[in-house]
Amino acid sequence: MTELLPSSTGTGQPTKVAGPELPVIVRDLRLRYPETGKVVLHGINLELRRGEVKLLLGPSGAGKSSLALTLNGLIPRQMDGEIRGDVLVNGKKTTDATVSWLTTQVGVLFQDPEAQIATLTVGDEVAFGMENLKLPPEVMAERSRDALRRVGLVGLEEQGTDTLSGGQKQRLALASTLAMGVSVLVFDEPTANLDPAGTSAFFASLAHLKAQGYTTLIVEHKLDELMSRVDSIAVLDWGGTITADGPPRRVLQEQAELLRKLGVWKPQVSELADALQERGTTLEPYPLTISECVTALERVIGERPLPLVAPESRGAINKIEKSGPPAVQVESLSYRYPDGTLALQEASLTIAEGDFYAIVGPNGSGKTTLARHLIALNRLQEGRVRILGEDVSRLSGKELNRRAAYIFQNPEHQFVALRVYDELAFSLRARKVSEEEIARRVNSLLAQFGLEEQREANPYNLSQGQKRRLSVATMLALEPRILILDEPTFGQDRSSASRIMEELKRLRSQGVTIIIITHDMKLVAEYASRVGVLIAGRVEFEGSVRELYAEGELLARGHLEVPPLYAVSRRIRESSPGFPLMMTVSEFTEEICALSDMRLAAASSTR
Amino acid sequence: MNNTQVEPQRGPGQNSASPKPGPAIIVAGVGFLALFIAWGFLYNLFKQQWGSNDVAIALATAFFWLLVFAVVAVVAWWSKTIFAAWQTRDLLLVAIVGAAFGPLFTAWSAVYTGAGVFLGPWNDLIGGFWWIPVILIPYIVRKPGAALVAEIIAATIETMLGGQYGIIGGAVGGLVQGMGAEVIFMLTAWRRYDWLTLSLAGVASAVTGFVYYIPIYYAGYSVDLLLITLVAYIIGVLIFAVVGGRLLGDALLSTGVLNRFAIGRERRQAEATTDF
Amino acid sequence: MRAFRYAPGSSFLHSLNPSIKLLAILIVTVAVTFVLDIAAPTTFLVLTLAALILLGGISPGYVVRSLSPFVLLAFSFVVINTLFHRDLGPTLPLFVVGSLVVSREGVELGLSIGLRVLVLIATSFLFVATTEPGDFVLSLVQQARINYKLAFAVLAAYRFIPIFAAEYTNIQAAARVRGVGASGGLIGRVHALKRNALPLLAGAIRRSERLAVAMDSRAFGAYSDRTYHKRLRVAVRDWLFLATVSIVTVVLLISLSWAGV
Repeated sequence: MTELLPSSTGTGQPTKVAGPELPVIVRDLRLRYPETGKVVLHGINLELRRGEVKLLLGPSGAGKSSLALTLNGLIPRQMDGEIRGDVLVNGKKTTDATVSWLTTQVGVLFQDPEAQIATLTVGDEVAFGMENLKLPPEVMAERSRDALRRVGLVGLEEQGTDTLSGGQKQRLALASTLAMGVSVLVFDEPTANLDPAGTSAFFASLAHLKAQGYTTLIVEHKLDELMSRVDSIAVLDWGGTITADGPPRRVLQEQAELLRKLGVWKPQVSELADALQERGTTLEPYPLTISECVTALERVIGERPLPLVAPESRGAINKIEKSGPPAVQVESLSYRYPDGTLALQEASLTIAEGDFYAIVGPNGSGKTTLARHLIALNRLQEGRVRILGEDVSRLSGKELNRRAAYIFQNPEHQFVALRVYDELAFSLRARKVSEEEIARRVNSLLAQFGLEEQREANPYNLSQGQKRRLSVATMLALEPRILILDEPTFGQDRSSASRIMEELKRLRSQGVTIIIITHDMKLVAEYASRVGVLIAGRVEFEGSVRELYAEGELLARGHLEVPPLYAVSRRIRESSPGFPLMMTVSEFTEEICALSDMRLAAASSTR
Repeated sequence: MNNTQVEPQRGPGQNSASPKPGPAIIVAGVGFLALFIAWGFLYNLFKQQWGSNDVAIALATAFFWLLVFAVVAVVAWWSKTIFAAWQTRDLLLVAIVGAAFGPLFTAWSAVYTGAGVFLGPWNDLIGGFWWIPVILIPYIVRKPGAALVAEIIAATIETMLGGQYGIIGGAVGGLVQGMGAEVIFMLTAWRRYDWLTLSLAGVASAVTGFVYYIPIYYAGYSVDLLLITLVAYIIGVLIFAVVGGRLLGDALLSTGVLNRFAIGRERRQAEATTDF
Repeated sequence: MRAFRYAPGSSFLHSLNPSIKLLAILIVTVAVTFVLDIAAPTTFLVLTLAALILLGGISPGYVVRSLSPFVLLAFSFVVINTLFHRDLGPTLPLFVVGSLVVSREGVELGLSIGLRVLVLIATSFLFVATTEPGDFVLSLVQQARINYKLAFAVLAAYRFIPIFAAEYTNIQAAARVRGVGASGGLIGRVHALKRNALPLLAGAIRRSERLAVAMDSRAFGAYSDRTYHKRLRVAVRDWLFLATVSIVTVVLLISLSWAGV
């Protein structure tokens, strides 16, 4: 029992975590799942130094989660999985250690906040792990307080877990693990289901833990904010082997090609550096954070910036739009949930035909409720909604479906068949289209969305990216003129996210009006022609992306973050007035290259 | 009868020694069930012999409750040994799938009420829907106690939420129904989950459930009405729970979400496993 | 507040140990099944309602709101037992509906069963309204000694009920967008239900696996027992309550049926 006693003094400041120099050693680890016979990990070698924060990158399905579960011994102990090789945690092989000992060494946190919480109140939850370890109540009380303080949830002991936000749930689960006395933390996409505010708060806790000396392995997609807190990066490739491992700057710079091939997200500033490198401009040192990028760029631009041609407007892909007739008109829409809370308060917005419109705002601001009104999924209480000039409350379901299609956040919720082909044919069959015509249209959709090989598969068995593409394809079968998507890139890796976004862009060029609900401001900057900001049920802003970024106070209230490159260009502008504000990698690259071309020309003419 | 090893391979350190049901337990289980079902006929015999003699009915009722609490005691005793060997994964599947049936049951209530207009006393044909978990859960998990655990969890939740049957009607009734199905699975040593076993389990569960309701809700029914209700129960369970439940289980299996549960493992067993 | 839910409070009934309270309720409900007259179930019903308001601090409005939907259910028992009751020996016919004879004894039998149904529901409401769900499960482990793994599975299921209810509404909407369940009617509803069950259950199974992994990662099930940071006890007042309920029940039952016969 002594080994379970608190690692911290509990009352004063949390002490630094102690332990061996290499708390985690993975040697030639191989893993196979008996249910599929698939070899997931193929000779993994990995070491974590004490206090190190290592980021694990890799495409979805490469075995990142499996690797995480081998570290706390759940594989092969509780889950089917055959392993070869060794995993050593704090000097002990996981296959030799007991489950209870391992859980006091390694804490694991997963992505779904709902599936992390086991009990009904915060106090019960934080004690949950300690109770399983049979700690005496006095010890638990002290450690609970300490753990809640570390994650910033102190004083909420009596609160019900169902009242917490997703981010709070994640931090609570973390506290429960910390209270067990772990020294190694493994995070498996902990912010995947969180909004930007929840993500920031979670990363802040991470920074505290790093300061206290916890050894951390983190799998994450949202790198812009995380980079400053990472000591090293390991890359897991499709074959289930670690192909790169080292300091972040070196891995991101030297493995740019590999990472692109694997479809892994990178910090936006690093993407810019890669793009510039391709055009012959090197950023030194290779930037990982906004301030590094500013410094490196200023060096490229030089002390005396040349006056720039047509600032603000050049290169802006999404900005200049001639707006068509209104596709969607929402007029003072109010909606109250059955439990009485007000979801929408006199929300009004107009979306023009051909727009790529992004609805943004914090969780619970009414984005989805508003979007659902567009296809009459919510009964109209107050206000008016028209699509393509017609009042939605007067349109029949069939007429609505022809005009607008809605794609839900969870693709599975929309599946109706057990075969991909039938899934696509479903709506056509319901409309009594001939089987030959169905076959023709379905095959063309399968080709368009890269699902030909999955023709006979069960939709539920597809990958996340394939499911999302299938759900878009099914809705396109009816050739709607408006497409509404709720978080289309949610939980996707970079290659499938950009694939779906490019497809939407193509549809837009064919005249389809696209409406997306999203949290991802990089996505908005890159694709949206207009943005509507919803805060607490009110539309607080409508306009172009660029106009939105000028509204500092509004951005703060809506928990919206400008893309890192916009922040970079704003910072450069402070020292070099006249520097244009830019949002995307391509925009930025064009501008910098044009700039150096001009200076080159200027240099040669003076010679 | 001793080998209850339903799962092929476990990792090292996994305590897979699921308690083996001795012949004594089986005899006791079957005995209770037989007595319990026989009691339904005894009750009617009593009523016919003595008419509305209050003392006779009170005696029959007392006998009935003794039987019920014997069943509950067996369940409680069982839960000590059998469920300790269950993995968290299986237990949570049973619990959370049980919770997911909540909205489905609510939706079904509307159908049940709506159909009452057409079906009259045969309305319980449609009640078979409520038996789906008793069939579906053992079909997926294939472990000793699956039908019972499904019902124990459902019963406890029912107690926490309340409902039209109250604690004694809903919660205790659930235990009795679960026991009915469990005895059938027990007789196959929890190895067979084919149509015949599932059907028998469904019928046993329906009959015990029906018998349980006699003294509580059907104490005033005429024999004709009792028989109609019993037949409706059985047919309803066969259609909705046995056929519907099994098809639902097969559909879920095809989606891949059950790959790591007994039903998926058994399907894979035919495929040769080679070393790597 | 939604009807028929836990109503937080600090009344006498709230302070009782959940397992003891449950046992007391079982005693009352079992007792009610012994009698087929009107007086006994009526008395138990009145006592239960009085306890709810006086000992449980539940507002009469909330009691009415929670129980009134069940009056119709109870009434259906009255009707069906009045019309299709068993042989009651010589009866006093009141009137005739078609081929069915409505007798005085039949109506009494029907009323008795209908009232009994109400007692079962009212006692159940008494338990639900005055018992904190987390404490109930804790008490099941600590006093009723049920297996703790089972108890935590119950807790998980309880927590997911509202989540799945919301998810189901979402799935229904998604189905409507695909054109399933748009047509009303009984057949349409059955069809939509069949379709909606799959995404709901598949999602539930995935969730259950993830939660199991998360719980195992925190040493759930590592030992055959565990400790608790909070301990529920059985106090003297719990035993007194149980004794009082038992005595009152037996006395009422005997005196009422003697008086009634």
